[in-house]
Amino acid sequence: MICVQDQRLAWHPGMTLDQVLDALEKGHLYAVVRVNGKLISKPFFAVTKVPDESIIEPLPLIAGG
Amino acid sequence: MKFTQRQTMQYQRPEIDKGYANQTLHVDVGDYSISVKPVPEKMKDTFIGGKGFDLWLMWQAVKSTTRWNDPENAICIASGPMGGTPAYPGSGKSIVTALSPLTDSVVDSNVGGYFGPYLKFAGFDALEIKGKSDKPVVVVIDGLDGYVGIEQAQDLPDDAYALSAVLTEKFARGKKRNISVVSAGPGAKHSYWGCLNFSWYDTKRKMVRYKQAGRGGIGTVFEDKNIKALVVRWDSVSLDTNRPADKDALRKVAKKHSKEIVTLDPKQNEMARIGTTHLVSIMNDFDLLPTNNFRYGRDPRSTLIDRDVYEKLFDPGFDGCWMGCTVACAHGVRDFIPMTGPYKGKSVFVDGPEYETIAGCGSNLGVFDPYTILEINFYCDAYGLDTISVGTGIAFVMECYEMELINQKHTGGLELNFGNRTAAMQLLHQIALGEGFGKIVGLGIRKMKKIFAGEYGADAAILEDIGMESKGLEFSEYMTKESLAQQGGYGMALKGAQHDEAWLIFLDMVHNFMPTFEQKAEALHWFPMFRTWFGLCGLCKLPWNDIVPEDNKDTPEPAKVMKHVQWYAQYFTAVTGRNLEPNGIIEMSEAVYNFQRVFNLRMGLGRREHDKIPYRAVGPVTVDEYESRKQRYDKQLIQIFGDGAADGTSEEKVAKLRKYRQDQYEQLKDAVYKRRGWTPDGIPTVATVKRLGIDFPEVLEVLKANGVTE
Repeated sequence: MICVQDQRLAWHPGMTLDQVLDALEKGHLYAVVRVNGKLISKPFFAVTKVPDESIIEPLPLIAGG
Repeated sequence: MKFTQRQTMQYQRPEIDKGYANQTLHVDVGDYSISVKPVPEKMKDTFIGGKGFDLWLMWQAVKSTTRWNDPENAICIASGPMGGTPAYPGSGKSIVTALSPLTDSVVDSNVGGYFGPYLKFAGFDALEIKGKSDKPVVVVIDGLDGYVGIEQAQDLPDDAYALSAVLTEKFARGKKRNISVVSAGPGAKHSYWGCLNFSWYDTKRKMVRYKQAGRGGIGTVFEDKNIKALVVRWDSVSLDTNRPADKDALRKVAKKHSKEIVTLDPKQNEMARIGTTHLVSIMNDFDLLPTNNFRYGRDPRSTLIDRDVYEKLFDPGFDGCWMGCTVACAHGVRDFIPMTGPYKGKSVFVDGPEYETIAGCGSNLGVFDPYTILEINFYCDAYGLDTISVGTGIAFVMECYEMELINQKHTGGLELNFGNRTAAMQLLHQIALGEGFGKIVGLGIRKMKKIFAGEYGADAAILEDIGMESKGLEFSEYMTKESLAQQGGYGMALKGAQHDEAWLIFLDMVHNFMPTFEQKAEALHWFPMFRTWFGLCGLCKLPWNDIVPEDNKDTPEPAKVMKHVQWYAQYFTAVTGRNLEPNGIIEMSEAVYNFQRVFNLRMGLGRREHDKIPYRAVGPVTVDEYESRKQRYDKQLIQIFGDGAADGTSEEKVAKLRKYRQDQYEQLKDAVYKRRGWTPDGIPTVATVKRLGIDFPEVLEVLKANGVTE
């Protein structure tokens, strides 16, 4: 299991970050996500493997600056 | 140190009423006069406060012929009706305005610290300072004793770091938290990049801290007036101090926003722990981190200067630049020992760095050493220099040096290659002291371009392409090549190339939420207007969209964070008693925004031609830049022009892309001007100024003089 924004989601081996976000409603809105304390940006979502028991927090960086 | 009174005025401090003192303070350091003027209801209705009040006072103070170093140029400082509220996050801002030595028009800069709120509680919604003193002076505003004084000052320290500490000690009468000092420094005296340091006393660390009104050279104007410092004294602050119209409603909405930040910031951007340093790695990942004078947006060495590094360097603790702000992002580094300059070998506290300083004085110079960035940050503050203009300005010089547009004969022997941190530090000290090549550099990019072309024989066209300034103001630290909307965000910003009006890169480039010109124009209307409102009210924009509700993504327009917009409208109503709905915020700002555009027009700017940006902000200037992202640019050419468009030499492709992108930027201007109710030349129409209630006779005269009569 992984935890995304305090919700538990099923985990599978080889799971990537973009697969996690695809499973979320409006997951496409996220450009940066914190995975176990480390910031991951959209260009790396597809190549970032998510370990079991990961804690994931999407960041709201959308109109910052 | 020695003080000699030149003028004093005793006054009866008014009770604050619904966020307003209802009077302004006017000081002329040339003839040593002090006066107070009432704030009419019409002024509050139209200009709200903060930047709006500043602009209105300046409009009356200066003429179209006034230059930055004329005595009638005014420095105005104001907070706003909500400024000084301790419970609502981000409610301690001041806005400063003056005619800028960089842009020759009015510039505004917002800043934390306690000065603006204390000024209001001392009895003044805004302070206007004019004149030029023949001797260094300190202006003292004592809200507890009801006293304003102009004092000649001798033997005070020059740099802001020491000066603010000395003046806090002198005027505190044992309660240092009661004092806020505004000062500049020798860098502000010797360059056009002068900033103002606004202080507050950090009771936990028992030391004076600073935030900077950095942009536009207002510190230079301050030094030119021979002002050493402004000092304000006030006592404790509570929710009652601002005398809100509805204290219960205020408490309720403040609690909601404050609690949300405490809950969500640790899950989101962690600003209370690491400030804005998280942006370094994010910008790098998206090819947006300016590197080597905005040539590139990424560098593998960025990990050496990112949040993980500064998190370890920051001194832990509560770091709000105003009381009760739960964003608390004003971090600093304790016991830093500079390797150069007057503080070499001494232990100092560095206030910062924030993202802009890391990117501007780090990656943009090809410097990836966190300690050099700290040292530049420290000296810029102590000298009274804007870290953004310093970073972008030195980056420009480094590229000129590498392109052999200038050489060691011009630089006085400095080898200004990218990454040469020793040379960068030497140049910074030269700028601050007005010595050597630093004297030229400190004039800013716009003037450097003229000197390099006119006196050194450099290619004027390439200088125009790579000199990252607009309206004379150096760019802040974001790459815009792949975001047409953000090119507009910089180019059409009223004061010059600063991102505080609009930051649309992610909405545009990453999410493609605004594919049409009309959608981009809508964003370049709504966001600048909404963000302007913070500056009218004495607020910081960070609590609005850097920490957002967890259900924000489910709202129709998540970028606007409408739940917070609703809270801000409630907040305004609770303080002022003036009923405000969310949509009313935009109209409020529009009046001041358009007034500032007309002000620019009055000063000889404010037309389409002045909204131009250098091509480096639009696309690849050099073959090297093109080829570094060849796949991206080739693909774009094929998408735009069809198969075969990516054939040919890189030089041909650079030219083809340039023509297309520059045309796109012009079309964007058309769309934005139309949306804002401006003529195709970028001037507000008579109908627009009438709709907004700023159709004063002198405004209409300016429009008429520029050919706009309807």
